[in-house]
Amino acid sequence: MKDKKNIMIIGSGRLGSMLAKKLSQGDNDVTIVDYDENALSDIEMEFSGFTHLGDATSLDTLVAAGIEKCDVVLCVTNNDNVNIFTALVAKSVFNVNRVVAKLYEESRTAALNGYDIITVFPSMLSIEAFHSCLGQIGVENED
Amino acid sequence: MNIIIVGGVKKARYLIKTFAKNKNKVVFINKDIKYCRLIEQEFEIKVICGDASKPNVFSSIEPEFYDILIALCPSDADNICICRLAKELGVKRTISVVNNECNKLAFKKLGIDTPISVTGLISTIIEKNAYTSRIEELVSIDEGKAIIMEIELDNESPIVNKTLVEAKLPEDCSVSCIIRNGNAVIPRGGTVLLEKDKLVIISLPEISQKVVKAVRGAE
Repeated sequence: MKDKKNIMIIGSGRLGSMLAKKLSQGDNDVTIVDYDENALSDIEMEFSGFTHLGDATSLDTLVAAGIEKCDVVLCVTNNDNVNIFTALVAKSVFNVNRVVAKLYEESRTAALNGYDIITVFPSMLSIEAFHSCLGQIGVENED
Repeated sequence: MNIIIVGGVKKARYLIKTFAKNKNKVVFINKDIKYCRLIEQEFEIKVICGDASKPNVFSSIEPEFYDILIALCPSDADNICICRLAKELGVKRTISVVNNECNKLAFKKLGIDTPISVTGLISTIIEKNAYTSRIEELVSIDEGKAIIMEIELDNESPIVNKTLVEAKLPEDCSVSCIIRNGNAVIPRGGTVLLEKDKLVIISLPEISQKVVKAVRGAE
Protein backbone atom coordinates (compact mmCIF):
# COMPACT_ATOMS: atom_id res chain seq x y z
CA MET A 1 0.00 0.00 0.00
CA LYS A 2 1.25 3.46 -0.88
CA ASP A 3 1.84 6.09 1.78
CA LYS A 4 -0.79 8.67 2.45
CA LYS A 5 0.34 11.95 0.89
CA ASN A 6 -0.37 15.60 1.51
CA ILE A 7 -1.25 16.95 -1.93
CA MET A 8 -2.01 20.45 -3.17
CA ILE A 9 -3.77 21.00 -6.48
CA ILE A 10 -3.53 24.46 -7.99
CA GLY A 11 -6.37 25.16 -10.41
CA SER A 12 -9.88 23.85 -10.11
CA GLY A 13 -10.69 23.40 -13.79
CA ARG A 14 -11.81 20.13 -15.31
CA LEU A 15 -8.47 18.42 -14.80
CA GLY A 16 -7.83 19.86 -11.33
CA SER A 17 -11.22 18.92 -9.95
CA MET A 18 -11.10 15.39 -11.40
CA LEU A 19 -7.66 14.87 -9.91
CA ALA A 20 -8.86 16.24 -6.58
CA LYS A 21 -11.75 13.79 -6.40
CA LYS A 22 -9.63 10.83 -7.40
CA LEU A 23 -6.79 11.62 -5.04
CA SER A 24 -9.07 12.27 -2.06
CA GLN A 25 -10.77 8.90 -2.65
CA GLY A 26 -7.30 7.38 -2.47
CA ASP A 27 -7.09 8.44 1.19
CA ASN A 28 -4.70 11.37 0.65
CA ASP A 29 -4.96 14.79 2.26
CA VAL A 30 -5.92 16.99 -0.65
CA THR A 31 -6.23 20.77 -0.81
CA ILE A 32 -7.40 22.45 -4.01
CA VAL A 33 -6.71 26.14 -4.60
CA ASP A 34 -8.49 28.45 -7.05
CA TYR A 35 -9.42 32.12 -7.15
CA ASP A 36 -12.82 31.35 -8.67
CA GLU A 37 -15.46 30.64 -6.04
CA ASN A 38 -17.75 28.93 -8.53
CA ALA A 39 -15.05 26.56 -9.71
CA LEU A 40 -14.46 25.52 -6.11
CA SER A 41 -18.12 25.11 -5.14
CA ASP A 42 -18.67 22.83 -8.15
CA ILE A 43 -16.30 20.20 -6.88
CA GLU A 44 -17.36 20.09 -3.23
CA MET A 45 -20.09 17.50 -3.89
CA GLU A 46 -17.86 14.46 -4.38
CA PHE A 47 -14.73 15.72 -2.72
CA SER A 48 -13.61 15.04 0.82
CA GLY A 49 -10.55 17.33 0.92
CA PHE A 50 -10.14 21.04 1.56
CA THR A 51 -10.86 23.89 -0.82
CA HIS A 52 -8.96 27.15 -0.53
CA LEU A 53 -10.18 30.31 -2.21
CA GLY A 54 -7.32 32.59 -3.24
CA ASP A 55 -4.79 33.68 -5.85
CA ALA A 56 -2.15 30.97 -6.07
CA THR A 57 0.32 33.37 -7.69
CA SER A 58 0.66 35.08 -4.30
CA LEU A 59 3.02 33.37 -1.87
CA ASP A 60 0.85 34.21 1.16
CA THR A 61 -2.09 32.32 -0.38
CA LEU A 62 0.05 29.22 -0.82
CA VAL A 63 1.21 29.44 2.79
CA ALA A 64 -2.36 29.89 4.03
CA ALA A 65 -3.43 26.87 1.98
CA GLY A 66 -0.72 24.81 3.71
CA ILE A 67 1.95 24.36 1.03
CA GLU A 68 4.66 24.07 3.68
CA LYS A 69 3.27 20.69 4.73
CA CYS A 70 2.78 19.31 1.21
CA ASP A 71 4.62 16.34 -0.28
CA VAL A 72 3.19 16.84 -3.73
CA VAL A 73 2.00 19.92 -5.65
CA LEU A 74 0.14 19.64 -8.96
CA CYS A 75 -0.01 22.86 -11.02
CA VAL A 76 -2.94 22.43 -13.39
CA THR A 77 -4.49 25.85 -14.08
CA ASN A 78 -5.37 26.89 -17.62
CA ASN A 79 -2.45 29.32 -17.73
CA ASP A 80 0.99 27.92 -18.54
CA ASN A 81 2.85 30.79 -16.92
CA VAL A 82 0.85 30.42 -13.69
CA ASN A 83 1.67 26.70 -13.67
CA ILE A 84 5.37 27.42 -14.25
CA PHE A 85 5.43 30.13 -11.57
CA THR A 86 3.63 28.08 -8.92
CA ALA A 87 5.75 25.00 -9.71
CA LEU A 88 8.98 26.99 -9.40
CA VAL A 89 7.80 28.56 -6.16
CA ALA A 90 6.74 25.19 -4.71
CA LYS A 91 10.19 23.82 -5.48
CA SER A 92 12.49 26.73 -4.72
CA VAL A 93 10.74 28.57 -1.89
CA PHE A 94 8.85 25.75 -0.15
CA ASN A 95 11.08 22.72 -1.00
CA VAL A 96 8.12 20.54 -1.98
CA ASN A 97 9.32 17.02 -2.72
CA ARG A 98 7.37 16.30 -5.94
CA VAL A 99 6.05 18.99 -8.25
CA VAL A 100 4.15 18.43 -11.48
CA ALA A 101 3.18 21.16 -13.95
CA LYS A 102 0.77 20.91 -16.84
CA LEU A 103 1.84 22.86 -19.92
CA TYR A 104 -0.05 23.43 -23.15
CA GLU A 105 3.05 24.63 -24.93
CA GLU A 106 6.19 22.56 -24.81
CA SER A 107 8.45 25.47 -25.73
CA ARG A 108 7.82 27.12 -22.37
CA THR A 109 9.74 24.42 -20.47
CA ALA A 110 12.94 26.46 -20.83
CA ALA A 111 11.79 28.51 -17.83
CA LEU A 112 11.86 25.32 -15.71
CA ASN A 113 15.44 24.37 -16.56
CA GLY A 114 17.56 23.46 -13.56
CA TYR A 115 14.58 22.49 -11.39
CA ASP A 116 13.34 18.99 -10.68
CA ILE A 117 9.80 19.57 -11.94
CA ILE A 118 7.80 16.96 -13.84
CA THR A 119 5.92 18.26 -16.89
CA VAL A 120 2.75 16.91 -18.49
CA PHE A 121 1.70 18.02 -21.98
CA PRO A 122 -1.99 17.39 -22.70
CA SER A 123 -1.56 18.10 -26.41
CA MET A 124 1.20 15.54 -26.76
CA LEU A 125 -0.91 12.97 -24.92
CA SER A 126 -3.83 13.63 -27.28
CA ILE A 127 -1.59 13.28 -30.31
CA GLU A 128 -0.34 9.93 -29.09
CA ALA A 129 -3.90 8.76 -28.48
CA PHE A 130 -5.00 9.95 -31.91
CA HIS A 131 -2.01 8.33 -33.51
CA SER A 132 -2.78 4.87 -32.15
CA CYS A 133 -6.48 5.32 -32.81
CA LEU A 134 -5.84 6.28 -36.45
CA GLY A 135 -3.51 3.31 -36.77
CA GLN A 136 -6.27 1.01 -35.53
CA ILE A 137 -8.81 2.25 -38.06
CA GLY A 138 -6.28 1.90 -40.86
CA VAL A 139 -5.43 5.55 -41.56
CA GLU A 140 -1.77 5.97 -42.39
CA ASN A 141 -0.04 8.52 -40.18
CA GLU A 142 3.60 9.27 -39.53
CA ASP A 143 5.25 8.62 -36.15
CA MET B 1 23.95 48.81 -23.95
CA ASN B 2 21.50 46.49 -25.60
CA ILE B 3 18.21 46.43 -23.76
CA ILE B 4 15.00 44.43 -24.14
CA ILE B 5 11.87 45.92 -22.58
CA VAL B 6 8.86 43.64 -22.16
CA GLY B 7 5.25 44.55 -21.38
CA GLY B 8 4.08 47.67 -19.62
CA VAL B 9 2.49 50.73 -21.12
CA LYS B 10 3.39 54.09 -19.59
CA LYS B 11 6.38 52.78 -17.69
CA ALA B 12 7.66 51.12 -20.85
CA ARG B 13 7.24 54.22 -22.97
CA TYR B 14 9.12 56.33 -20.48
CA LEU B 15 11.96 53.82 -20.25
CA ILE B 16 12.18 53.58 -24.05
CA LYS B 17 12.37 57.34 -24.22
CA THR B 18 15.17 57.46 -21.65
CA PHE B 19 17.21 54.58 -23.04
CA ALA B 20 16.77 55.32 -26.75
CA LYS B 21 18.11 58.83 -26.15
CA ASN B 22 21.36 57.53 -24.67
CA LYS B 23 22.38 55.62 -27.80
CA ASN B 24 21.38 52.26 -26.43
CA LYS B 25 19.93 49.61 -28.68
CA VAL B 26 16.40 49.02 -27.44
CA VAL B 27 13.92 46.29 -28.40
CA PHE B 28 10.33 46.46 -27.18
CA ILE B 29 8.17 43.35 -26.86
CA ASN B 30 4.46 43.61 -26.08
CA LYS B 31 1.35 41.48 -26.64
CA ASP B 32 -0.85 44.44 -27.54
CA ILE B 33 -0.66 45.08 -31.29
CA LYS B 34 -2.13 48.59 -31.02
CA TYR B 35 0.41 49.67 -28.47
CA CYS B 36 3.23 48.11 -30.49
CA ARG B 37 2.22 50.21 -33.51
CA LEU B 38 2.14 53.36 -31.42
CA ILE B 39 5.65 52.76 -30.09
CA GLU B 40 6.87 51.91 -33.58
CA GLN B 41 5.61 55.23 -34.87
CA GLU B 42 7.10 57.25 -32.07
CA PHE B 43 10.55 55.68 -31.70
CA GLU B 44 13.08 54.27 -34.08
CA ILE B 45 13.44 50.97 -32.29
CA LYS B 46 12.64 47.36 -33.07
CA VAL B 47 9.19 46.37 -31.85
CA ILE B 48 8.05 42.76 -31.58
CA CYS B 49 4.39 41.98 -31.03
CA GLY B 50 4.11 38.74 -29.10
CA ASP B 51 4.27 36.80 -25.86
CA ALA B 52 7.80 37.06 -24.45
CA SER B 53 7.36 33.94 -22.34
CA LYS B 54 7.59 31.93 -25.59
CA PRO B 55 11.05 31.37 -27.12
CA ASN B 56 9.98 31.94 -30.74
CA VAL B 57 9.31 35.60 -29.97
CA PHE B 58 13.08 36.05 -29.62
CA SER B 59 13.88 34.35 -32.92
CA SER B 60 14.26 37.59 -34.86
CA ILE B 61 16.83 39.02 -32.44
CA GLU B 62 19.91 37.42 -30.92
CA PRO B 63 19.16 37.49 -27.20
CA GLU B 64 22.73 36.52 -26.24
CA PHE B 65 23.87 39.96 -27.39
CA TYR B 66 21.57 41.77 -24.98
CA ASP B 67 22.80 43.09 -21.65
CA ILE B 68 19.49 43.60 -19.88
CA LEU B 69 15.90 42.47 -20.09
CA ILE B 70 13.36 44.56 -18.18
CA ALA B 71 10.01 42.86 -17.45
CA LEU B 72 7.10 45.20 -16.70
CA CYS B 73 4.06 42.92 -16.97
CA PRO B 74 1.21 43.25 -14.45
CA SER B 75 1.44 39.52 -13.66
CA ASP B 76 4.30 38.25 -11.47
CA ALA B 77 3.94 34.80 -13.03
CA ASP B 78 4.50 36.27 -16.51
CA ASN B 79 7.49 38.32 -15.35
CA ILE B 80 9.17 35.30 -13.75
CA CYS B 81 8.63 33.16 -16.85
CA ILE B 82 9.93 35.90 -19.16
CA CYS B 83 13.05 36.59 -17.08
CA ARG B 84 13.91 32.92 -16.67
CA LEU B 85 13.47 32.26 -20.38
CA ALA B 86 15.62 35.29 -21.22
CA LYS B 87 18.39 34.00 -18.97
CA GLU B 88 18.20 30.60 -20.67
CA LEU B 89 18.50 32.32 -24.04
CA GLY B 90 21.63 34.16 -22.94
CA VAL B 91 20.49 37.62 -21.84
CA LYS B 92 23.00 38.77 -19.22
CA ARG B 93 20.84 40.50 -16.60
CA THR B 94 17.16 40.54 -15.79
CA ILE B 95 15.23 43.28 -14.03
CA SER B 96 11.58 42.87 -13.14
CA VAL B 97 8.84 44.74 -11.40
CA VAL B 98 7.33 42.79 -8.51
CA ASN B 99 3.61 43.55 -8.48
CA ASN B 100 2.75 41.63 -5.35
CA GLU B 101 5.02 42.54 -2.45
CA CYS B 102 4.79 39.09 -0.87
CA ASN B 103 6.29 37.48 -4.00
CA LYS B 104 9.60 39.24 -3.61
CA LEU B 105 11.23 36.19 -2.06
CA ALA B 106 10.28 34.10 -5.10
CA PHE B 107 11.98 36.57 -7.48
CA LYS B 108 15.17 36.36 -5.46
CA LYS B 109 15.14 32.58 -5.15
CA LEU B 110 14.50 32.18 -8.86
CA GLY B 111 17.50 34.22 -9.90
CA ILE B 112 15.94 37.46 -11.11
CA ASP B 113 18.93 39.82 -10.79
CA THR B 114 17.07 42.95 -9.78
CA PRO B 115 13.49 42.64 -8.53
CA ILE B 116 11.89 46.04 -8.02
CA SER B 117 8.84 46.17 -5.81
CA VAL B 118 6.96 49.29 -6.71
CA THR B 119 4.43 49.01 -3.88
CA GLY B 120 7.25 48.64 -1.39
CA LEU B 121 9.05 51.72 -2.67
CA ILE B 122 5.91 53.84 -2.71
CA SER B 123 4.83 52.80 0.76
CA THR B 124 8.27 53.57 2.22
CA ILE B 125 8.19 57.03 0.71
CA ILE B 126 4.65 57.75 1.86
CA GLU B 127 5.38 56.48 5.35
CA LYS B 128 8.48 58.62 5.74
CA ASN B 129 6.79 61.68 4.32
CA ALA B 130 3.74 61.35 6.50
CA TYR B 131 5.34 62.95 9.52
CA THR B 132 7.01 65.83 7.81
CA SER B 133 6.25 67.35 4.48
CA ARG B 134 9.50 69.29 4.33
CA ILE B 135 11.62 66.30 3.59
CA GLU B 136 12.14 66.72 -0.09
CA GLU B 137 13.20 63.33 -1.19
CA LEU B 138 13.78 59.95 0.28
CA VAL B 139 15.74 57.14 -1.21
CA SER B 140 15.82 53.74 0.36
CA ILE B 141 19.10 51.81 0.12
CA ASP B 142 19.20 48.04 -0.12
CA GLU B 143 15.52 47.66 0.73
CA GLY B 144 15.44 50.11 3.58
CA LYS B 145 18.63 49.21 5.43
CA ALA B 146 19.56 52.88 5.19
CA ILE B 147 17.82 55.95 3.79
CA ILE B 148 18.95 59.16 2.19
CA MET B 149 16.86 62.26 2.87
CA GLU B 150 17.08 65.87 1.89
CA ILE B 151 16.01 68.40 4.51
CA GLU B 152 15.97 72.17 4.07
CA LEU B 153 16.98 74.43 6.98
CA ASP B 154 14.70 77.35 7.87
CA ASN B 155 15.28 80.11 10.42
CA GLU B 156 13.63 78.08 13.18
CA SER B 157 16.06 75.25 12.82
CA PRO B 158 18.19 74.81 15.97
CA ILE B 159 21.32 74.04 14.00
CA VAL B 160 21.39 77.12 11.74
CA ASN B 161 24.65 79.13 12.08
CA LYS B 162 26.31 76.27 13.94
CA THR B 163 29.15 74.18 12.63
CA LEU B 164 28.44 70.56 11.80
CA VAL B 165 30.35 69.50 14.96
CA GLU B 166 28.35 71.94 17.13
CA ALA B 167 25.08 70.73 15.61
CA LYS B 168 25.55 67.38 17.43
CA LEU B 169 23.32 65.38 15.13
CA PRO B 170 22.39 61.87 16.30
CA GLU B 171 24.83 59.03 15.82
CA ASP B 172 24.11 56.66 12.94
CA CYS B 173 23.53 59.54 10.59
CA SER B 174 25.86 61.57 8.44
CA VAL B 175 25.48 64.78 6.43
CA SER B 176 27.00 63.74 3.11
CA CYS B 177 26.36 66.89 1.13
CA ILE B 178 24.93 70.38 1.43
CA ILE B 179 23.11 72.02 -1.45
CA ARG B 180 23.78 75.76 -1.06
CA ASN B 181 22.65 78.30 -3.66
CA GLY B 182 22.38 75.49 -6.18
CA ASN B 183 25.92 74.26 -5.57
CA ALA B 184 26.95 71.06 -3.87
CA VAL B 185 29.27 71.46 -0.87
CA ILE B 186 30.87 68.44 0.79
CA PRO B 187 30.80 69.42 4.47
CA ARG B 188 33.49 68.91 7.09
CA GLY B 189 33.16 69.24 10.84
CA GLY B 190 33.87 72.98 10.73
CA THR B 191 31.40 73.81 7.95
CA VAL B 192 28.81 76.33 9.20
CA LEU B 193 25.20 75.46 8.41
CA LEU B 194 23.15 78.30 6.93
CA GLU B 195 19.46 79.04 6.47
CA LYS B 196 18.08 77.58 3.21
CA ASP B 197 20.82 74.96 3.07
CA LYS B 198 19.53 71.64 1.90
CA LEU B 199 21.21 68.86 3.86
CA VAL B 200 21.56 65.49 2.20
CA ILE B 201 21.65 63.06 5.10
CA ILE B 202 22.21 59.36 5.10
CA SER B 203 20.81 57.61 8.16
CA LEU B 204 19.55 54.36 9.57
CA PRO B 205 15.78 54.20 9.05
CA GLU B 206 14.93 53.72 12.73
CA ILE B 207 16.48 57.04 13.76
CA SER B 208 15.24 59.07 10.78
CA GLN B 209 12.56 60.81 12.86
CA LYS B 210 15.16 61.76 15.46
CA VAL B 211 17.35 63.22 12.71
CA VAL B 212 14.49 65.26 11.30
CA LYS B 213 13.74 66.61 14.77
CA ALA B 214 17.38 67.52 15.40
CA VAL B 215 17.65 69.33 12.08
CA ARG B 216 14.31 71.10 11.97
CA GLY B 217 13.54 71.46 15.68
CA ALA B 218 10.35 70.20 17.32
CA GLU B 219 7.34 70.71 15.04
